[in-house]
Parts: sequence; C-alpha cells; structure tokens
Amino acid sequence: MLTLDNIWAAYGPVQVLSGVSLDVPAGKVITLLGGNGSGKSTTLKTIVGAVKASAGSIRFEDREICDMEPREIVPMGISLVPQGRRIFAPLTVMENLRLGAFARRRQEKSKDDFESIYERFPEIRQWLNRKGNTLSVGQQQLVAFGRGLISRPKLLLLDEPSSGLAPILVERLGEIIKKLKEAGMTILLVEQNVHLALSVADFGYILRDGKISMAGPTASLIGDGDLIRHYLGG
Amino acid sequence: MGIDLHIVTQQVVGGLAVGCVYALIALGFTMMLRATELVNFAQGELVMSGAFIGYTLLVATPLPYLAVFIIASILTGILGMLIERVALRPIRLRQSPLLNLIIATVGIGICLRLISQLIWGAAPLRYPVSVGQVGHLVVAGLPMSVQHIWIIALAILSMLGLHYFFQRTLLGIAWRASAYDSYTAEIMGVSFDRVVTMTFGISSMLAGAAGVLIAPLFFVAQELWLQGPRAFAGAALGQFHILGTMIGGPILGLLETFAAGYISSAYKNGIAFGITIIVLMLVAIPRMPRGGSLVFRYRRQTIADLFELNEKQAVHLRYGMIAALGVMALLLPSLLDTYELYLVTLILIYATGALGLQLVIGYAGAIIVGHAAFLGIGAYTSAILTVYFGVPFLLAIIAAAIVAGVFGLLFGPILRLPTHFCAIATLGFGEIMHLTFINWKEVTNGMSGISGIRKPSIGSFVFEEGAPFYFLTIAVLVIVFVALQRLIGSRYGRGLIAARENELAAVAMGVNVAWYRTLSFCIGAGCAGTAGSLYAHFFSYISPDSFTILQSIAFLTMIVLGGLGSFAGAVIGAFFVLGVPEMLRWLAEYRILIFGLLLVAFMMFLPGGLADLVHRLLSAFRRKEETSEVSVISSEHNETLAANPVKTNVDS
Repeated sequence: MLTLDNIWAAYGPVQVLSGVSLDVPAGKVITLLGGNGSGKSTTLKTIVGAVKASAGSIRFEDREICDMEPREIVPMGISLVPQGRRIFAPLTVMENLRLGAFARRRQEKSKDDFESIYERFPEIRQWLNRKGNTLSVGQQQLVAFGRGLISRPKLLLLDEPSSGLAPILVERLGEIIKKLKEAGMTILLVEQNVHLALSVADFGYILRDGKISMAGPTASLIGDGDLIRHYLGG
Repeated sequence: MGIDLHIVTQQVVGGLAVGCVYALIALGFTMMLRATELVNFAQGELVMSGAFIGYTLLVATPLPYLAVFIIASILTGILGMLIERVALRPIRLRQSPLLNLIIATVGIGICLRLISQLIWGAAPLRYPVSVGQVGHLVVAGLPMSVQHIWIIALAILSMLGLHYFFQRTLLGIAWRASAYDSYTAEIMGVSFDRVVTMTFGISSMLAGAAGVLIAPLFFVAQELWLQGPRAFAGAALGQFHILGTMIGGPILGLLETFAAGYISSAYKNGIAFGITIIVLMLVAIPRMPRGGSLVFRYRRQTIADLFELNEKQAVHLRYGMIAALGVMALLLPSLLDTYELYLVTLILIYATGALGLQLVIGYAGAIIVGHAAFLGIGAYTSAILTVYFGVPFLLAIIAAAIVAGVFGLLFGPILRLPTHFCAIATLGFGEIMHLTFINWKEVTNGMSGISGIRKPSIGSFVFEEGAPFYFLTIAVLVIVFVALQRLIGSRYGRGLIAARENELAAVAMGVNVAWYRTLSFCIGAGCAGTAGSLYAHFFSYISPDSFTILQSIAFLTMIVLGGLGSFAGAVIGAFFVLGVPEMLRWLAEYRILIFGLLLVAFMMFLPGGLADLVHRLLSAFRRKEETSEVSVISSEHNETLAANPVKTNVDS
C-alpha cells in the first residue's frame, strides 16, 4: 500500500534520514523502532508531506506522493496521529473531531463518520463540549485516535502513541491497535516501547542514524539478540 | 457644576462609535498576531484604502451606503490577500527574520499612501453621504446621533459575523486550530500558507469596513492611516484575544472621548499610545528568554576573511581603507557644490543618529520605531540651552546626548517586551513625544518651534554653514562610530551579541540581558541626541514636525537597507535613504512610491541590505577568481584526472 524508496531528508544542515526504504502492505501492522533522534518521527512527517524529502520516492496506492502537500495527501486516505497527541487545547472535543475530517470536506457523510467514532469509543460522546485542555492524558489519547480515524483513512500513522501514558493506558492502547487491525486497518506504528510494538505488529523495521539497520517479521525480531544492540546502538 | 446628561450621552455614544471602529481595526491586529506573530504596519493604510474605495463607489455608482460598505470591505480584503501573496509570502518562505517582514509591511504602507495620493489627491475629501441620515434620535429623553448608532450597529454586526465564522464554520475552526498549533493543523490538511492568506484577507476586510464606517466622521485623507497604530491599543487592552479585542476597542473609544472631554484634548491622540505602553509594560506577557536568534541570521564575513588575507594584510587593508575614506572626506567640500555639501552634511547628521539605532536593533536585537523622538529630545535640549540660557555649544551637545540618554534609560524596560510589542510600544513613545513637543508650549514653543539657533562655536571659532559645519559633523560621526565599534568589541558588546544570538544561552552564562539591553537603548538614544543637537544648529530652527513617525521610519529603513549588525551599513543606509529620493527628484511624488517599492524589494531579494550586496558581489568576484585558478590546475593535471573519471565528474 505504501512504499518508501531511499528517502533522504534534512533539517537545514542536519541530515536526519539517509536513505530510508520500507514497505507497508495493506491490512498489516508495521512497526518502526529506534532510539531517540533516529529519524522515526521524521519518517512519518515525510510521508504526510509535513517535511519535504530531498531525494527518494514515496508511493501510496501506486501514486507518487513525495512532492505533495499535506492538504493533498491527507484526503487520499493517510492520517497521522502525532506524538504527544497534540489535541487543540482551546477547541472543544467536537471541534477537534471536525478538524480530523477537514481535508475530506465530504460533509454529507460526516454524521456516519461521527457515529462510527462514538461506536468505537463510546466515552467520547460525553466529552463533546469539553475543551481540549480539560481532558486527562487517557481521554486525550482516545480523542486523538478519534480525530485520526474520523476521515476514514486507509493508512493510519501512529507516532509514539504510548509516550506519556500510564502502564494501564498502554495496555488499552494495545487493545485499540489490535481491534483496528482486526477491522482491516493498515497501520504504521512508530514506537519506543518495544514490548508494545512487537506484541501488535506483523513486521518490524529498526531505524538507526537515519537508516534501516534491521528488518524482519516480529516473531523473528523477538528472538533476535541483535535487536537490543541495534536499538541501543551498542 | 452639574454634569449635563445630554452631553454625557452624546459622548458615550460617540465614544462607542469610534471604539467599535477601533475594535474592527484591532481585530485585524489580533488575528495577525495569533496566526502569524506578525504586526502588520500597513493595517492603518488598509483602513485608509477602504475609505477611499468606499468614496469612489459612493461617487461613481448609485449604490446605497450599506452595499458600498460590503463591497468596499470585500475589495479591501482582496487587496490584503494580494499584498500577502505577492510581497509577504516570498519573504516569509525564505525564513527571513521578523524584522524584515515588519519593514516590508512598512514599505507596503508607504506605497499604499502614495498610490492613494496619486489616485485621489492629497486634499481631504468629504464623504458624499453620511451613514444613515444626519440627525438625532431621542431615546428616553436623551438625544443620540443617528450616524453614531448606525456605525455601532454595523460594527457590531460585523463582529457577530466574525464570531459566527470562528465558532461555527469548519474554516473558522481550522483557523483557530492553526493559530494554536500550526503543525498539527497542517497534518490535518489545514495549509498554513492558506491560513496566512486568509488572515490577511479577513483582517484587511475588517480594516476596509472600519474605513468606510469612520470616513463620514472625519475627512477621507492619507492621515486616516494613523487610526491603525492607534487602534492597536484596543488589541492590547483585549490582551490579544479575539473576544477581548471586541471589548477592548469600545473601551479605548470611551477612554479617549472622556479623557479628551474632561482632562485635555491636546493629548487626545496620545492617549491610545499611552494605554498601549502601560498595558504592554504592566500586564502583557514578559518575554521568556528563548534560544535562537529573533532578528539576526546573517553571518557576514569580513572582506579580510573573504580574500583569506593574513593578519598583516588585513591590517594594511584596514588602514588603506581608512586612509582612502579620510582623503575622500577631506576632499569632498571642494568637489561638491553648496547644495550637495548641504545635503551630505544633513545625511551625516542622520547617519550619526542611525548608528545609535543600529546598536539597539542590529546588536541588541530589539525593534525600535520611535527613534526620531530622541533626535527631537536632543535638538530641543540643545536649542533651549543655547538660545535661552546662552550655554556654549560644546556643553549643549553633551547635555543633549545625556538628556536623550536618560530618556532612553527610563524607557529601556520597553526592550523586555517581545519583538513586535516592542515595535508598537516605541512607536507609541515616539508619538507621545511628538505630541509633547507640540503641546508643552512653555518649553518647546509649540508648533511655532524654536528659531534663531546660532551656528555652533568653540571658543571664538564659529562653524559656519558649508565646509566648517561639514567637518564638525564628520568629526562627531567619526567619534560616535569609533566609540560604538570599540563598545561592540568590549566585554559588554560580546554580551550583547551573545544575547542577540541566543538569549537563553546568554542568560545561562550570566549575562544580565535586561540591563545590557536597557543600556544599549540608553546609548542609542544618546547618539540620536547628539545628532539632534547638530540638527538644531544646522537648521537654526526646529519644530515638532521634524521629529515624527516619518523620520523614525526613515531611521529604521536606513539600518535595514544598510544591513543589520553593521555600523558602516548604517552610514551607507543613511546615504541611500536620503540620497536616492534626492536623485529621483525629477520623479516628483513618484519617488516616494519608488522608495516604498525599493523597501519591499530589498526585503524580498536582498534581506541583508546593502552590506550584503557588497559582500555578495565580492564573493562572486572571489569565486570567479577561484574557478579560473582551478581551470589552470586541471589543465596541468589533465592526465591524472582522465585516469580518474569520478573525480573529473566532481570537478566539472
């Protein structure tokens, strides 16, 4: 569904991605692991077009999207749930959800979209008129998922959803991802929490210094002693 | 003495009417600050444009006032969007410093004023109809102007419309989201570029609406642009929140009206600026130290670096250049005619003041839009001391520097404000000083000014007009220049630069940033005071009109066009800013338009100013030299290169 081929990206003089290639097949959960500053978040930002790749190609459903703007990429069916959730604090939950569907502008269907979100996360219905900054971290997590899913994406990008979550919430997060997978969602999951990532993903990539240093089915990665070495950069 | 209820009612309604118009203009400022962190200095000119567009529509078409109000607002909104797309977006996308964007809006303002003057003339025009009809409506036995009520109603309707847009429409929600967190909004598909264009469109629309509303109360003239900076106080009172601004505007209108009615009407126009400064200083957000540079991003090599001269050569180059400049300065009086020498002397006086501003903006990293006030303080100090008290010139010029410096020290805390607030607060300071020069008649002699200021003299030697005065000015300029250059090389100067480059790091290293900046303001003001003293003795007459916002903006453009962070650039900039309009004299009023366009063009294509241009030319010259050297080498080593195709590739 999504293929990155030899992607390079830099922030000014700092080279962040030095030739990242990876493949996300439809219906699978793929995880991208790596330490701090290895370029995981940048990879996701490059996919949605928020960071421009200096070289390489990104193909989504056989279309080259590397040179497109986020406002063109998002309606094609890619949705990014950003790191730290980044709920719009001065906006209500309802307004946050409406923004999730901003790029689609298919307002006639939006009622169904909202209903499907309430079905998945029934709690959200009670918070609709609350401001973003009055939500707890766990509540924000659900709203962030709702905001990401309301546009009915074909591909969901999750940027470290577990960061800042209490262990019990991480557990819930794992269940949410598994349920999405059962429903046929394609997911690219960036994580620092190796345990969580490997328990939900089918295939994993390890990113180190802007390059893929290791890749394989999660089953093989779990047993591999090299994982720790690659991950910690030892 | 009882308070006449009829008069009070009229004052309240009148104050509210003007206040509602302020609110519309101020909402433009607030929206711009929220979405882009920019203060649009052309906002007032957009108010003026709206008023003029409305005038033409009313005169040329049979449309009723209400339709004109709507159409003129929309046209002004389109004008604002065009300005953003054509001029400001390229500057923003090249990640220029905020100051460059602000200067560009100043340039756009100048252009709009001049264009309106070319189309509609400089004479004030009267609106052909009033809003609604002239007359009074009696409510509960109290008469109210129908015109005022119409203005209030239309302004409130506009604000309600804006409120609905922000709260209910998807686009409005997207705007709020982007203003809060533009990155996250961007990944939801809300394009920041489009949000910026939309912000310019809406805030210009509000400005146009305000123009059409306020025009029937005043005449339509270029002076309407001053409503812009004045209305900023409404945004400040509202703490730069949308709803707050809607309340802050009317409060400002009421405060102005009552202060004018019961305290003094002379300072009426200064009240808004006074409020702005007080609110910003006392209530507004104190600036948190932050990493990264706000104003200055150019690392300029010296000529010696560029040509890789060794230390000895660099010293030779320096002395050579100083000697060349010295000889030129000495020969100039015999080369130029009387008028040219007069002009050069005037430019040198301004350059002395610009050096001070360069210290504050180019080195301390603050934005000051009121520098001419210090020129005025110095000029008045020197004039009063010599004319009324017979103080000798040498003492007067020192006193002028000190008095201006003390004012700088007193207002130094303004430099703690975030960049754009600092710009508005100092603009207000300049306007208040201008009003003081006009109204403190006992000291400044009001609008008639002070005349009969004698030429400066030391002992029995009098610096007459022409060469003697020119040499005096050169001497003062050189002293100020060298002193500032030494200052920047000192421990203090290094601290100042450190704070400019990375405030957070400087604070962590123990640099007392607030005090360093205040001191820079004090010294910069002192330089302007010195220049002011020369100015007074040069013209032997001064009046408040020599020290207005126009001169302040001229100072600002000098250092930006000359190149920020370069004292030589400030002097070059002074020659450019005052010399170019002189050279374009044959273009009559078009020269100011061209000047405004140049200002914008500089920000678009040469953000580093003239100093950057010189550097670019030199480095281009240097590269040319290098490539010719390379080609010689490669032909010598042809065989080795041919054996290694990859390397040939790299070289070509």
